[in-house]
Amino acid sequence: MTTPIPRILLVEDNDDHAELITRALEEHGIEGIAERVKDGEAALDYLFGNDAADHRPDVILLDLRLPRIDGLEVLRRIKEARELKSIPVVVLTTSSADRDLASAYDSHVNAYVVKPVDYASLEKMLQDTSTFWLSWNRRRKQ
Amino acid sequence: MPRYFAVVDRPSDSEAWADDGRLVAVFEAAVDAMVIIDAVGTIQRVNPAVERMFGWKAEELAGHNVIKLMPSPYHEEHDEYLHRYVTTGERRIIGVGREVVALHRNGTRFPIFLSVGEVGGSTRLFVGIMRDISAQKAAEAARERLIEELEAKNAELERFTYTVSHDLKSPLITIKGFVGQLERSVTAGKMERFRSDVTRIAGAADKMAELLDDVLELSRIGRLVNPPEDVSMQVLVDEVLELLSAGIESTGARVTVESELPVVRGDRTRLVEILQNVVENALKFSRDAPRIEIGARAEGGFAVCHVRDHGIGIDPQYIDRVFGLFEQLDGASPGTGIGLALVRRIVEVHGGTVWAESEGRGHGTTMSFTLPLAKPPIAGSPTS
Repeated sequence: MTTPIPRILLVEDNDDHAELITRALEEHGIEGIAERVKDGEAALDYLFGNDAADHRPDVILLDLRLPRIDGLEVLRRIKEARELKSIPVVVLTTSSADRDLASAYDSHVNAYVVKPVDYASLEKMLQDTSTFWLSWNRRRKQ
Repeated sequence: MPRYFAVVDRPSDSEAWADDGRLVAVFEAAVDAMVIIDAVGTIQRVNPAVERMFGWKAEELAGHNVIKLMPSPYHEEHDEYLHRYVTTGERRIIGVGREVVALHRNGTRFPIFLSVGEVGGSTRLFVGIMRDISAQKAAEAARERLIEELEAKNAELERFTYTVSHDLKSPLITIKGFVGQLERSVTAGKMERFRSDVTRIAGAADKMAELLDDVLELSRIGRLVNPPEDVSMQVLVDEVLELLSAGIESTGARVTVESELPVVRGDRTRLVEILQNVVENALKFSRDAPRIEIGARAEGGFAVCHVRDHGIGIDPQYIDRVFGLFEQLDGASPGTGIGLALVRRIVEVHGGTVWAESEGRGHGTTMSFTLPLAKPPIAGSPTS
């Protein structure tokens, strides 16, 4: 049986961070970033647009401080939507502020990860979170 | 033992109390106003402090109801408490001080601290002792205002720290992340990727330096270094258009300026910064050949200035975010997103307000701000 390629939506406005995240995922055999969007509004368009059902992601990696609509609002909208709320959302942010952490968990985030400043930790973190949530999501779909 | 102590201890006769010259002297000398009333609130006697506090002479009050000194609903409450005490002995005001509102002869109301005691004697009498607490209340209100202002400043500082720490950490993640990648690229012989990663690292370091400069600049605005001066908006506009002439020329922008702009008062260097940032934004967020209109009118002691462009506009739902520190609605725009945060800070330090209006994307933006008008010259005064 082949492992299905996960479809990951990366919501990240910083090009450098997006590149680091993509590389870290690739090094663990996950080359599944189907789409990267750069602000909260584009994320909601992607998830709620007319053809959204055709490209529904398996996991969403979501930055918090985003142009236009912030990540917490995007998270709230995802978790309030019946058709989307079961998609694991991993918040990936530079913010370690208590209020952001609390708000994210209040909005039913699946994991909250503070972006580490060294690459090895980023890789490890992505490996752990994506492996866990991807397998969880696959099991749920079966 | 002096006689009046015995009288105070056991006031067996109100007349004897009143006749005691030394006690009367105390009554007359008290800074607090004292009013002696009977059980139905009729004023029997007042001390001189009452005249100072309420504006009524003693003879104008004697025989009148105490209602004259106390507006509704306080006098009704007072009557009820007194009646309850007389009929049931329940102490709601007797021996218990409370804050009420008093009525001056001229109709103004002022806060007092009132305590009521029973004087006793053959006729049942009560004494109301009143202290004007207007100054204390004003001080309390001023303190509350100060606390509110401090809380607002604190919240602003917290937001500032939050934003700055987040935004400074961001290039650090890039630098550390790509430094970690360099060795891998060399080992794998991927020299092109190595070079591109070095460029990313250098870019992030530059970004960090830029952010730090911006933070420093923002912190400087709190203390205006140049003394305020009267300066014509026309002069400011001319100066800014000169500063931005290269950008205006290269974009083919057409700038229209209203005639007869008002004279404002403020830190001239900072005022130039306001206009420069706003006009620069208008240029930056316009498509080919930008059209920009600058104008101002005097209104209520302030100049209401506007810079209107016909550029890409702002979705109304994000309009308030544009003034946030390091906020960029379009992540691909150059700069750090400090410009309008600076503008807001400078305008607010001058006592003005700033706002943006747009009918939506593609419909242009109008940035408006208010600045204090210069005081008109006194007629006949020499001009320099």
